[in-house]
Amino acid sequence: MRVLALETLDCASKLRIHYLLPVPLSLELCEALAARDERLRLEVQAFSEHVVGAKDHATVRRAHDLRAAGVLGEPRLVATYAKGEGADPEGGRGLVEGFLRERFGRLERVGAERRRELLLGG
Amino acid sequence: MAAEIPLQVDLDHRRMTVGGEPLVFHCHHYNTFLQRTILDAEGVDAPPFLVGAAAECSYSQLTKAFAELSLSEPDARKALAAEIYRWSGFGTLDLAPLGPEGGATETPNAHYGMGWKVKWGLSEAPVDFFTTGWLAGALAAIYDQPLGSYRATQTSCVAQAEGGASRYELARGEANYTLFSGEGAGVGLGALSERHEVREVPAHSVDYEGILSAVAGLDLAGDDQGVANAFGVYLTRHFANYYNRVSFELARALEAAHGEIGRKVAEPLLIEAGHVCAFNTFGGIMSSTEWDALIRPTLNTPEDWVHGMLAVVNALGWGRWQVTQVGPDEAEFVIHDDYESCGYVAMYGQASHPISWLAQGGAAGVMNLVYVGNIQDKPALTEAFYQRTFGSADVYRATPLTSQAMGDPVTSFRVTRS
Repeated sequence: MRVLALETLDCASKLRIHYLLPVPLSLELCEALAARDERLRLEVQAFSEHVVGAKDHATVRRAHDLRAAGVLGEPRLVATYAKGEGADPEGGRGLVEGFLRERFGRLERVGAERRRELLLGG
Repeated sequence: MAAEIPLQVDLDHRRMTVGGEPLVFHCHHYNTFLQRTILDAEGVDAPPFLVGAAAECSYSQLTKAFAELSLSEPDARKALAAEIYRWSGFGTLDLAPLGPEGGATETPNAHYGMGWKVKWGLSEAPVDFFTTGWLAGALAAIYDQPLGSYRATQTSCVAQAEGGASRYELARGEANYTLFSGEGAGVGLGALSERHEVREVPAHSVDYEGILSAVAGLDLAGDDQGVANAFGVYLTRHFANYYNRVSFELARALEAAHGEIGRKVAEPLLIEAGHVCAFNTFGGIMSSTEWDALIRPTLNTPEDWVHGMLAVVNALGWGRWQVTQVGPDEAEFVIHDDYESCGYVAMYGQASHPISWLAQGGAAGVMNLVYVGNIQDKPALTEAFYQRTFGSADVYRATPLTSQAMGDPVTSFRVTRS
């Protein structure tokens, strides 16, 4: 099993990476990620309670510098790492990617030519 | 314990208020682009009205909020004011050093300074006219003084250096900014329709009410640094009447200097700010994981994407947006109680020409994102993509059909390809 990682934004204030997981994102996986640092908070947005056909959404957030979010049941996790003053994007990325490697074995970085596959699955 | 925000939500009119002042969501791209557009206008002395507009809004909001909550002690008033500022996504402010004679306060967390630096790079001069005015209005409200009782100056800015701070100095004395409405500051919601005559729309697959309910339930408040990071942008829950005042004052200043041609110069500038808003905020929303969970599963056609975006717009405080006709060739947007019209009439009386420029740019922007930019394919929201999408030969433009500011029941636009 492996995770594919595509950098989709690298600007002055943030770095964003889309991860394609080998399994659908689950609440259990989000809880395990949130447990990696006591400052991480997990929130679940139960959108399916509001709109028929909608899916639920999960966010794992560390104030100011890390936000990982995805649709529960779909194989993508989108992480945004803050950059700039006082931020430690490499630390945040190390935390998330270390977790994903432990879970899934390998993390492979891919280029923009695979953007459609990573973001849309096609 | 943090002071509770006295937020009022009027789902019927798609509006939200604190202290009677209507609030609307906008992001740092729009905030800094609009401000820069205004500052760059040749021959316009913008800082006095940029500061004065903010003073007018904070004074109006806080005097009413203090009265609603029966807050009479300055410390309690300062706590509420600072909490509203943080919650709105403007940053953080320590109001403790300020007293009835004024004083100085400093913060490392300032939305306008940070947004400016992220978007435009370092600035030679301070850029946070909004907070300067907000403080002047807030201090007057806290100490039961008339609006305009304090001079306010920003002496340093987060945007001027890496690791910098914004410092503001206030002193009792004659206002060094424009005073718009004297002691009875603020226009609040303006003249809202009694009720919306909702138009028929073509068949689609979007659950507007469900989406409104879900988005209204999202936590979009500023964090403990006063930053609301959502949909890939820094969001603010800003004063509708701040945008109104600064936009209309720009148009009026250019018209005063150059006659009707001055207004004709202002209009495309302010519509372009609407395009920038749509591109970044709407584009960010349509590219977000929240969109993928809440809205995307129910979308079947490009027309559904337009409806899906409008369902979210209805949660932004901008009034009730409908699209009564939509396809790749053209669309018709109807807006009930758009905040620009309501604000204009309350500030200046009935308009002689359409003035809903943000809405005009926003309506065209949705169509450009869906039909020109193919936002469905999750393109990167870069400057190059903006130029390709909004600068293309077959770009959509919106033309006003009716204007609530001119006395029509609604504001509406036809959007067609060039």
